[in-house]
Amino acid sequence: MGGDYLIAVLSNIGMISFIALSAYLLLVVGEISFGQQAFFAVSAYGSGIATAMWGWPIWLGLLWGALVAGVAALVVAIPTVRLRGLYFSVATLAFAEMVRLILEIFTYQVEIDGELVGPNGSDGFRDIRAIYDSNVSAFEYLLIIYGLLAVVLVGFLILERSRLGAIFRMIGEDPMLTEMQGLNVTAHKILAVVLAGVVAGIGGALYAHLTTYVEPKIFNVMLGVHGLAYGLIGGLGTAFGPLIGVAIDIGLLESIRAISGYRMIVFGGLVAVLLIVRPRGLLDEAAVHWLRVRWRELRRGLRRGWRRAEG
Amino acid sequence: MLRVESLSRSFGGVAALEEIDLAVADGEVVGLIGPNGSGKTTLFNVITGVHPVDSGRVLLRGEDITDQAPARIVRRGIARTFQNLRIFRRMSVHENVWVAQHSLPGVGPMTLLSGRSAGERARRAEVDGLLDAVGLADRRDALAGSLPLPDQRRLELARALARSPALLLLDEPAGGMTPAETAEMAALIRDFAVPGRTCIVIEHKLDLISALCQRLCVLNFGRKIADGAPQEVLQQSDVLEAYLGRDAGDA
Repeated sequence: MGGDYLIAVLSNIGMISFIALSAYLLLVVGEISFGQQAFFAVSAYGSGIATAMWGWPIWLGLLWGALVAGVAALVVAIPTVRLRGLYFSVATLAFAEMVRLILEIFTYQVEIDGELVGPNGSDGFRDIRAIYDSNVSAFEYLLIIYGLLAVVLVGFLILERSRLGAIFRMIGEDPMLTEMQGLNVTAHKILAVVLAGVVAGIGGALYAHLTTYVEPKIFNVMLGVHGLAYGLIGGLGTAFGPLIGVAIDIGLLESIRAISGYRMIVFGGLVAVLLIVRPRGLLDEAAVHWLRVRWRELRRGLRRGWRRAEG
Repeated sequence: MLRVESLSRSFGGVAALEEIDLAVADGEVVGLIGPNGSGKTTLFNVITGVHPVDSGRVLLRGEDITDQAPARIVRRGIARTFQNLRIFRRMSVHENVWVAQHSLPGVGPMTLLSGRSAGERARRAEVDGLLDAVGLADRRDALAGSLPLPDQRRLELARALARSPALLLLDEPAGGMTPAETAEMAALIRDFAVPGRTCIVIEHKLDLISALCQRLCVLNFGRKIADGAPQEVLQQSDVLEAYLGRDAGDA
C-alpha cells in the first residue's frame, strides 16, 4: 500500500515537472504564461484519442500528443509573441480558457466493442486504457515518465550550454539589445513557445494514460499557475530550478499530512516570500553562475593535485 | 560608408531630428556633439532601425537600409554601444562578448547547439583575445552586472568589436568616467577600435573627441548646426551658444 502511494506521488511529481519546465522555458525568454495547461490538455486529449479510439500504440500516442501540443503552441505563438509582459500573459490565459471551454462542448465518440469511447463534453473522456491493455505496471509506467523526463532534462541542459539557450536568456533580459546582436527576436520567441508547448504536451499525454480519464475542469488556470510558481520558487538559472520547485510543493508539502489542509496557504506564502527575497528563485542566475565557477575551480584543482600525485 | 539624407523623426509633435544630412566616408572618425536632447542618440536609433523614420533615407555602402528590421541592419556590419549602458547583467563577462557572435556568418543553426567544435573553440578564443585587449581578461568569469561602470563600458566596446563591424557607433563611451579613465578609454578606442573601420562617436568630453575625431558634427534641437574640422566648428558662435547659452555666443 505504501509502495503504491509512493509510486502515485512520484508519478505525479514527474508529470507536473513537464508543465513546470514548460512554464520555465517561457520565463527564461522573459514571458509569464498563464496558459501552459492548455498544451497539457490538448495533448492529453489528442494522445487519448489516438490510442483509445484509433488504436495507435502508446509510444505513437505520446508522440502524437506532443506534436499536437507543438502545433497548438505555434498557432498561439504567431499572433501573441509580439505582445510583451502583461499583454502576453493575458493572451495566454485567454487562449487556455478558450481551450478548456471548447473541451467542455467537444464531443467525438465512436463505438468500440459495443461501448461509446471518446471525449464527451463536460463529462470528460473515459477509458484511455492503453497502458493497462498492454499490461504496463504502475512501476514500469513510472520508469517511462522519468525516462522521458530525463530526456527532456538533458535537452534543457544541452540548451543551457548552447548558443540557442543563450539567445533565449538574452531575449529574457533585453530584447532590444538581442536584436542589436543581429538576432531575430520574434522568430526565436516563436521557437521557445513551440518547444514549451511540446514539453507541456509530453506531460499531458503521460497524464491522460496514467489516470485513464480526463475532463476539462482538470486543466483550469490553477494548473498553469502552479507550473509557473515552480520555476519562481526553484529558480530560473537552470532547468533544475523548476524541478526543485515541484519537489518542494508536491514532495514536501503534500506528503506532510499535518499541513495537508493548509497546503495552498503554505504554498502561496512560500511563493510570496520568495518573490520578495529572491525574485528569480532559489537557483537564480547568480547562484548557478557561482556554482559553475566553483565547480570549474574544483575540477582544475583536482586535476592539478592528480598530476602532482602522478609526477 | 554611411549617408543620411534629409532624415526627420519626431516624437508626439516634438521634432527629435529635422532634415539631417550626414555623409561619413570610409575610415573616417566623426564626432557627434550637441547639448542633451539635441537628437544624437535618436540619430543612432534611427540608423540602426530601432526607431522608424518619418521621412528621409539612410544608406549604408550605397544601399538603402531605411526602416529595415534592426537585426538585418546590424548584420550588414554595424555595431553600437549605448549611452545608458546595455549589457546582459545576468551573464558572465565572457558570455556578454560571446553572444555578439551568434549571428555572424558561419554561426548557423547547427553551430547553435554544438558547443565543442573546432570553430566554436576558435571563436571563444577570439572572445578571450578581445577581453584581453580591453583589459577585462581577469574579470572574464565575473557576472557582468557586478562590474564597475568603466569596466561595463569596456565590455560594451568589446561586445561591439566582436562583430567586426565596418561601422562602429559609440554613444558616450566615456560617460560617467573620471578624466584618467576617459584618457585610457580614448587611447583604447584610438589604438584598438578605430583602425580599419568607420566610426561615429557621441561624446561631451572634448578631450576624448579631439583625441579621436578628424571631423565634428554638431546637433541642436534636432538640426545640424555645424559640420567640419574640430578647431573651426568649436569657434562657431552658434555652437558655443548651443552649448554654453546665449551670452557665451555673444561674447
